Parts: sequence; structure tokens; C-alpha cells
Amino acid sequence: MSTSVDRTVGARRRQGRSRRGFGIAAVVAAGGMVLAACSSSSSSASSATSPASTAPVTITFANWASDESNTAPGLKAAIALYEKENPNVTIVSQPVSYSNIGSQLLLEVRSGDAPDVAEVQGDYTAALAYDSALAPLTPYAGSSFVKSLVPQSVTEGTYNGQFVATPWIIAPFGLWYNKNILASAGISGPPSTVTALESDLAKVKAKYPPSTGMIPFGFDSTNRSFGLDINWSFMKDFGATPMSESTTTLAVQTPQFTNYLSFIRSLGQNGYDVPNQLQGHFRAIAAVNKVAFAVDGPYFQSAVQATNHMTNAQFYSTFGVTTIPSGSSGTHYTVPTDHQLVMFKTAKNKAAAWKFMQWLTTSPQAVKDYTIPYEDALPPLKQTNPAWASLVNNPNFTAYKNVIEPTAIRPGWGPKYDVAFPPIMTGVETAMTTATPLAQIESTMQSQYKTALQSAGLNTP
Amino acid sequence: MTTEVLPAEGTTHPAGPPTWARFHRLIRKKRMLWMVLPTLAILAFVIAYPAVRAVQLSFTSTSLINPVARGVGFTNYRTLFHDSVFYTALKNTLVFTGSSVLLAGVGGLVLALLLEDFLGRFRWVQTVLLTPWAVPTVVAAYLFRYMFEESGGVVNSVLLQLHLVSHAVPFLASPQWSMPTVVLANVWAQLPFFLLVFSAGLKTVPDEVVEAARTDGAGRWSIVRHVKLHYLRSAAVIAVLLMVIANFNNFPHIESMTGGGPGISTTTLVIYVYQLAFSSYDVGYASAVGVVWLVILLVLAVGFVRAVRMEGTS
Repeated sequence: MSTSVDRTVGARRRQGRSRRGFGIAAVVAAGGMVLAACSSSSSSASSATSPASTAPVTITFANWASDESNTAPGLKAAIALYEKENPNVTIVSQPVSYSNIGSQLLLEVRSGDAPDVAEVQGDYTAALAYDSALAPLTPYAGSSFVKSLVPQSVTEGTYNGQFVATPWIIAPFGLWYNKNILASAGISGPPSTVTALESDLAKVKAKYPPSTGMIPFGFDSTNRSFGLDINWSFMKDFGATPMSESTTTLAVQTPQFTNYLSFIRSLGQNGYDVPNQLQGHFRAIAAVNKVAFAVDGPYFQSAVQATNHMTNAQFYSTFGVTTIPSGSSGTHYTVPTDHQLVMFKTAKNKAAAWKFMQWLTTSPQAVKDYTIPYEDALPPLKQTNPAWASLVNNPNFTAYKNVIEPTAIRPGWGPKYDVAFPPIMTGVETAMTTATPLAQIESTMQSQYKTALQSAGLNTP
Repeated sequence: MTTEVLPAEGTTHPAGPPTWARFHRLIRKKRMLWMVLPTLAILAFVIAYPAVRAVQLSFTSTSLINPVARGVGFTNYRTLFHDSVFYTALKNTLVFTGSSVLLAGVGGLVLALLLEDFLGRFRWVQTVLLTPWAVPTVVAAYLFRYMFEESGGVVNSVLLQLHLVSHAVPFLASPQWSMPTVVLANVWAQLPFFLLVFSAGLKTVPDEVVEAARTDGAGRWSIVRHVKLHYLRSAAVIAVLLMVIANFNNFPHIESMTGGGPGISTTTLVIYVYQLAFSSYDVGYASAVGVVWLVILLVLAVGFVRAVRMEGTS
């Protein structure tokens, strides 16, 4: 009998071990798959030389324009036109979502699988530049081409003295407003200062109770680098510059930043803004006339029209755009979210890649057929070309060119910006949605930034 | 030719199996080992390698921006020890997982007991209740996100029209409401799993046992409590284990609904690891957080498996 008991217990033990093994394997599988995302190889490819100009060439082009419904058809047509004009060239467009393109490109660089050309923006460009993944463009572009560009846009594409990102569309943030809503709330025109903006928001809120679904101010406060980009110009209005690449502390425990957080808190507590919403969320609601003011780039127009199918004339009569309101100093600031094109050091045919980049960003054909009609944005050229001059003769383009673009400043994009935005934007949303003392929020931001810098190995000036 | 005669289940061989037979069986098992090698190789590649690589990376300062990674010893783990966001994310993970599993489990059990007697033409009710399980996580998350919008969401519209609230409730825009809202949506999506498991478990309860309890004068509640729940124990332990693991790793649901916000009020460990690795590009530290998260999962898994064993033994 004892033998039977032993065997039964043994079987149970084996069964237990088996179950335990299965359980552990299941957990390892679950965790391992996610951890796999953190793994990366460190190989890098070497650059190749240019083949003869008539030899077949394939250029890989990663971009988010072909991932978005309002711009994808235009880019597809533009690429087809370029391939028709250059029969030996094939452009392989790789659609990547805007949210993922920064990390995806970095991962592709790590794995030696970077595309030849990519569409990037702001902090994504900085990350790739600091990663030394980008080819300098000056040898291909030439000084005359660079001189033909809007100087600000050249500065935005220059890192460590190297011009590495050529501007494609000029896209600084502006203050969009719905003329009909403003008129109905008794507001004669867009605000020029933050104080005037707060006053106008109160009027809109009074006119439209919550049950109407009206959002007085569509302002992105999400915890992402784009969220900090949007907030940056308002921070500057209050005299606050929360971080820079040259320091290891945040300049958030200052009266200026406290004033900024007070402003943000008033947006949340008065119900002017909806916290934790991506800018794209407000575009869709703006399209149905439920957003009075929104901070957005020129692509706001194409996004709204893609939703409500307004004609250009209808759009211009409904929506206007102007500079981001200024603070007490009277100086206006905006952050450029210019879409840029970069060429990777690993590009196999740099001459052909540059030719395509130049054509897409500045050729009259591409500007006329893609940049203006699909991106609703200005090209990066100083001079207006007769081929598209009539297309930009409207109040919004005029505002962007004459009053918004000149106020552009580049935030401290770079490795420290990447670890600074989570504590800053977490603090901004905390200020917006809770009654936590502002001093406490600022202190938490500081300590979280210190931790983040330490973990990223960036805790030296 | 020899024939091996093994003792029947529950019986005892007088002197144990013959030595030759045992040897023969061992040889045969070893010969079969090569058949599992492809599976082991695939598992090593897709499971072991990433896990080992993550552990290795956690001792480095690897960043997606800085190609030169250097060993930093236990620095990442020391940093983690003082990281307030990590502790908040851990707390959020436990709250999200615990409340989701508890509510979905209890809800699934109650529905399974209520629907147990639904036969014939009412069987479709059970099918309808199972449909949320078939809805993709991201779709369910976006559905709930739109339903709970502060401005224009159907839930707030109903609450306002019924005068149950005077102002729209910021379900997803306030730290107080965001986690309960995300959990509610998650419970809706996961409750059918428990319903399915418990419904299957209830079918294994022998009618004779229920009849015997009834004959002994046990009421409906008493039968549920003392008979049916007893038979559902093993199924419940397995279901809870699976769902604890699933919710610990639940990325798409939270990312789609709140992205971890507002602030970090719904940031769980998996969201935090993603943000560290793919927004801040800090792969070394993200790996350290991931390793700790994996260890927590392993501890949970071992605990639950032991519970299953004890259940089996008792």
C-alpha cells in the first residue's frame, strides 16, 4: 500500500512540477514578448556610393504622410509623378504613424535597416541628429539651395553646425479660432495676449454651457514630446524656459513657471480645456463647430476639411488663424513643427535620394500639387513661385507667412528633452486636474527629472 | 518479444515494474527527446533570448539615441528604488489588475450561476453575454473612450438629461475617475471569459451531489456556497491566474483609453516601460523596470501554481 501512496504522491509532485513549469513558461512568454521590445542590436551599416544616374535606383522613404488619410493620396500622386519624370527611380514609400516614427527610425538605425529618406519633425529630428544617424546635406544641397530657403527653417534643421534636415512644409503652431463661435459669444476678434484669451474663454464658456459639448480651448496637454512642444510657447509667454540641454535641473521652481501652472490650472478648473486629449481629438470636434480656439499647425485645415468636407472658401469664412497670444512682455512665441526630410548616413544612393528630397520639398510641381493642397502649408521657400502664387493668396497663408512664422523659436530638443517631457507634462496635467499645491508639483517634477537623467546617464551638464 | 505490463491506475505492482522494463522505457524516452528539440529551439529564440537580453540591458546605460552603451552595474536598479513614478505605476498595476480580476470574476460567477438554468430558447442570452470577449481590445477601449467623453460622450449625456449630475463628469480627464473608468471598460471586456469558465465548471458538478444536498434540506444559496463553489475552485484558480497575467501585461486597453494619463494616474508598469523605451529612448532603465515586473509576475505565477497544487492535494 505504501508503494501506491508513494507513487500517487510522486505523480502529484510531477503534475505539480509540470503545472508549475507551464505557469512559469506562460509568465516568461508573456513578459518576454514585451521585454523583447526593449532589445536592440547595435549593428550599423556602412554607406554606399552612388551608382550611375541611369542605373535603376530604389529609394526607401519612411513617412507618416502616407499613413494619414488626408495626405496619403496626394503623396502617392506626387511620388508617381516623380517616378514618371525619373523612370530609373523607384520610390518605396513606407507608411509609419506619426506617434511611432521617432522610435521606429531609431530602432531601424540600430538594426542597420534605416530607410534612405524619412519625414521627421522637431524632437524626432534632434534624436536622430544626436544619434549621428543623419547625413549632412550641404554637400548635396549646395549653398544656393540653402540660401533659397526660409532662414528659420534652415536653423531648425541644423544640429551641431550641420544642416541635416531640409524643410518640407512650414508648420509653426498658430491660434486657430472659429469666427462664428466668437461672434456668437460677443468676441470681436482673436486675442493678442494671454489675458485677453482668458477673458474670451470665459465669454465662450458663459455662452455655451457644458451640455452643448462646446470646448472653449482645444489645447493638447498629453504626456508626450509633442505635448511639451505645444505648451512651450505658452511657457515662454510667462517667462519660463523649463529646461535646456546645457543644464541638469529643470527651471520649474521659479515664479514664472508657477504662473504658467496657475494659468494651466485655470484652464482645467474652469472647464476651458479637456485634459489628456491629443490635438487630433480637437480637430475632429472643431470640424463640427464645437471648438472655439485651438493651438495647432497649418495642417489643422486639411484635418478639419477631411472631416466636414468644407470648401476652401467655407473654411476661410469659418476659421481664422493668428499668432499664439503673448505674455506681459508683448513678444509672441511659437514652436515650429515643420515637417522635414532627412537622409540617413546608410542611404545607398545619396545623390539620387537628395534629388528626390529636393524635388519633393521645393519643386513648383510638388508644392502646387502636394504641399499646398494636401498639407495646407507653405513650402520652405523665401520666394513665391508664379506656379503656386495664387494658391497661397488667402488670409490663413498670409497670417502664417507674415506674423506666425517669424515668431518661431526652437525648444531645447535633444536627449534631455526626451527625458524632461514626462515629468514636465505629468506635472502640467496634475496641475490641470488636481488641487495639489503647485510648489509640490514643481518639486515632484524636479525629482522625477533627476531620476530620469540619472537612469539615462545624462546627469552631467 | 517482451510485453511490458504496467499496473492499473490505483493498483500496486507487487515488486514495482521490472528493472528491464524501466530501463527500456528510459531509453525510449531519451530517443524521443530529439522530437522536442525544434520546439525548444523556437522557445529559446522567442522567449529566452529576449528575457536574457533584457536582463543584460538592464545593467547597461543603453539608449536608442546614444549608440555607445556602457555597463552601469546595479545603477538602474538603485535608481528604480528611488523612482516615485515606478511606485505609482506598480500601485496602479496592482489596482488595475486586482480590481479588474475581482469584479470580472465575481460578475462572471454570478452570471454563470444565474444562467445555469437558462436552457432551450433562452440559451442565446448566454451567447450574447459572451460577445464582448470577441471584440478586439483596442476596439472595446475606443468604444468606452467615446462613451465616457466629458464632452459629447453618451454616458455624460444620459446622466445630465436624467439630472443625476449637474456637470459633465470628467471620467477620463480626472485622476479620481480615470482608473475606475478604465477598470470598468476592462471588466466589460473580460467578464465573458469568467462566465465561460464558470459555466463550463458548473457543468461538471454531479447532479447526484446537488440532489443529495437538496434531499438533506439545503437551500439554493447553501447549495451554491457548499457544493457548486467547491467544484469551481480549481477552475477559478486557473482563470484568475490567467487573467492576472493578462492584466499585468494589458497595454492596448490603457494606451487606447488614456495613454496612462491624466498625469500618471493610469500609468501601469507596462505603459511605463513602453514610455521609457520608446518615448524617452532609455532602453537600459526600461529593461530594469521590465525585469522587476517579470520577477513580480513570476512570484505571482509560482504562488498561484502552488495554490493549484494545494487545491489538488486537498
